[in-house]
Amino acid sequence: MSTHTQPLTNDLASYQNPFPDIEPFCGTVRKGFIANFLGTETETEFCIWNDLSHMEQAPHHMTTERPVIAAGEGFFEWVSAVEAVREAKDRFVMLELGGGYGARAVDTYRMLQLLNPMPCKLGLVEADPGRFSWALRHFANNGIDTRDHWLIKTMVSDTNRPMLFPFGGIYGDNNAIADPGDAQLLADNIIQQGVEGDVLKGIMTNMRTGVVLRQDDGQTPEPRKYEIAIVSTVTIADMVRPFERVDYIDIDIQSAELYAVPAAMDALNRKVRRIHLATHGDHIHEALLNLFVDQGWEITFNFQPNKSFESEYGNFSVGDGIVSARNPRV
Amino acid sequence: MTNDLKQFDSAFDDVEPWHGLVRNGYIANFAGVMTEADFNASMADLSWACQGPHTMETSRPSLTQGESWFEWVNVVEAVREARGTFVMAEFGGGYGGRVVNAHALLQKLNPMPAKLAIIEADPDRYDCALRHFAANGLDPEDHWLIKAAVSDTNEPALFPYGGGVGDNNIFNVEDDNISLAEKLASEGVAGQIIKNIFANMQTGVKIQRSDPRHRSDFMLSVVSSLTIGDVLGPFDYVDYADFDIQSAEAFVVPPAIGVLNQKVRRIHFGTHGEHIHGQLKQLFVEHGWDLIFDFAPNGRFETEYGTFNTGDGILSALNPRLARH
Repeated sequence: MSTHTQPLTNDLASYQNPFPDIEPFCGTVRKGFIANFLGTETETEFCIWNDLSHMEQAPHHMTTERPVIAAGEGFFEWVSAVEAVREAKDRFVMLELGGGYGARAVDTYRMLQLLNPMPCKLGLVEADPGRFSWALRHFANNGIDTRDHWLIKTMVSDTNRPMLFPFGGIYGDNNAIADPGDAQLLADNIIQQGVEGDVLKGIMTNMRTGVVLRQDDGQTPEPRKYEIAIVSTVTIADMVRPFERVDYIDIDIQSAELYAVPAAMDALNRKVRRIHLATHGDHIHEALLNLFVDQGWEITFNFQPNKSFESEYGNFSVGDGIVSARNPRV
Repeated sequence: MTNDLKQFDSAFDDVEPWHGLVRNGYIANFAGVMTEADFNASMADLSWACQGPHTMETSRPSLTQGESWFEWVNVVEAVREARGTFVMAEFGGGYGGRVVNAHALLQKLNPMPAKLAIIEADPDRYDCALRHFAANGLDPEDHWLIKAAVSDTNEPALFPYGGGVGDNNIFNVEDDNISLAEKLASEGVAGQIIKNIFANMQTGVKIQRSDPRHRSDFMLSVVSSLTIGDVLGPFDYVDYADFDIQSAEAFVVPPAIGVLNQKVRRIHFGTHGEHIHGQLKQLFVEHGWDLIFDFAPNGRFETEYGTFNTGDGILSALNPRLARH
């Protein structure tokens, strides 16, 4: 008789206390770092949304707490990670696509060491060179030797064709110029300005266009600047295929999930046990939710982007949408 | 001992050369691997294989064949030494001839699960690799075929699509690329090229070759690049890595020597140019690898086991840090 039970979607009652066996970190943290409940240490420089300058002055004591549902997206990421960690056998494989500085990969690694230690392979894909170098530092800061893992400085896409990509943005801004119309407008603009010779030379020497876009969203004192570059891509299937089984994939690729995920569905179905998707826009959320349901995945969490939710276990808001699912075939 | 040909004189004695009926349009080799005749059409006249199903008798590789004999020796030695799971990566994989050969020998000599990786930037050749796997009973989904160039960084590369075997080397010489960009700008086509690149990562620029042996229908494209470390990243131990990347080995391999030392047991290079051959040889010797074969490119070598010529140079080495005990 099968012991498999299908999870209910958004069964928050089951996750009231998902980390009972993790003692929240309490201790001294290095100058310029903060710690979370797992004891993961993160450079304050990476935490650009918060003013943590007071922690940059000296070593300091921190007392942490287990995440609660009010934390929103972060809570659900940690729940997906801890469930994957508990379920792992023999060897744990996790991929973080659109990895930023590798927060989720490193946190998951910490959970694995705390709850279910075993050999582990972490894969991370991040196109922005600044953030990629942060990921190298974040791994090293937490005692993880990057030579034993798999960090790739590319974008995630539906094909291996390189893409136009803005270097230098902050979180949430780094989505490729995927719309052919936008790309052609950019080309026309370059030609109108008469700089096509310089741009071509930039492309043919280092794949940088020299074209700087400015965006003033009123949230920062100065307009944000992005240089348009051409970056290499990998597909999700490229990342999955080397393995016989992938325990957990976390994907946060700033709308590219709309085309990158469907293209990799066969590989996901064959090899991936659990996925956590940050979705960007209602229509993307719905499209991916339907895709995973149609493909027979069990949806554990489904919360639309940019909404507030009330529950008897706490209220929370999300910016990115949340689709978490597990694959009964794997 | 380097170039100890005697040691490998009977390397294939326990492999019975394949013989039998071959499908129309295919040829077979001694390991029983079926290859579309079209894949080698630029190297030899194989029209006889396209007249209908035909019977083939094959024979074991011979030293007099030069490069391919050394490739076969490395394959068979890697296969014999494998334990648990056999992992092989073919850089500049073309249609995957060497990994599929290795898989066939693995099944005959030392059957075990295998993971085969190919990295190939040319889309036509990549498609050939998919077909070659399927023609030989391998599901590409069980392996790892990546459509990208091998480079020293992840910066996309200018890469010529099309052409015959041996022409597809990435454009990595900065001065040459600047000159080409300036030439194109002076011809007034820079704007159109940018539009082309932004639309589909193809420049629309055709590259002419003066060498009459080569076709002249290269289309300069922008392709994704992966480093050697990127390709080895998922693995902890790689039994065998084969490189034939048309001179790119000169700048791609040195930055990756750390990861090669860490993960790769056996390596084989087709080297392109005496200077490159010498540089790589020195690199591997300095890093403590045992050289198995070292034959410079474009040479003729007379030995007591036979005389052979090289086009690409032959550099094969074993990593003693990863010896199976």
